[in-house]
Amino acid sequence: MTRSVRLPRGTRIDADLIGALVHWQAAAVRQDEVDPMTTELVRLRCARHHDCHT
Amino acid sequence: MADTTATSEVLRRVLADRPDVHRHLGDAWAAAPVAVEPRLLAICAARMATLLGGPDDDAFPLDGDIKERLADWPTSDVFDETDRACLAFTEQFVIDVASLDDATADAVVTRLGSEGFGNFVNALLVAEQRQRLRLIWDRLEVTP
Repeated sequence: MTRSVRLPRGTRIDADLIGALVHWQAAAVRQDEVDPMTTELVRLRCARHHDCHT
Repeated sequence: MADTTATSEVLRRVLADRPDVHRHLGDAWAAAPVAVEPRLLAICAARMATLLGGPDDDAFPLDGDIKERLADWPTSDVFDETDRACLAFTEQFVIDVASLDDATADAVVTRLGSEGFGNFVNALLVAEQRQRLRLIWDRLEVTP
């Protein structure tokens, strides 16, 4: 399988949608009642979603 | 028996004491069918619900028997090439997002353009987050 950059630099994404997504995810991350194990599982899931290997 | 409470109502109840979280998720969901053609988002969200084993999301009604035909989307004449490209993408997105291949993504870019593709993926992400939250809360029986 090959994977390449899928959105050219400068692609204009709907500002309302991406803005709302950023606010929603930030609000979720600010919650501090989740235990460390679940937090790590979520972090790993998000990393996979974003194709992040750190 | 599956809980038939609307997903929006489940989200409202569980997040009642976290109004900022609920409001921002609601804002994202409200913005999704503005950025993406509502019918297209609705059929992909419905297909997603089937794959995840959850109830249909309650956001957008679908006309006629389109929901019943979704299982046959590769061959059903109810769906056009844009629908098929986006449904194929949705299925891979749900099953293993990190394994999405270029051909599947390119098919959506061909139909929607780069901007449309970016908006579609973001809208799909909101739909998935709503549905997965609802499913896990059903499983944990935390909905008041």
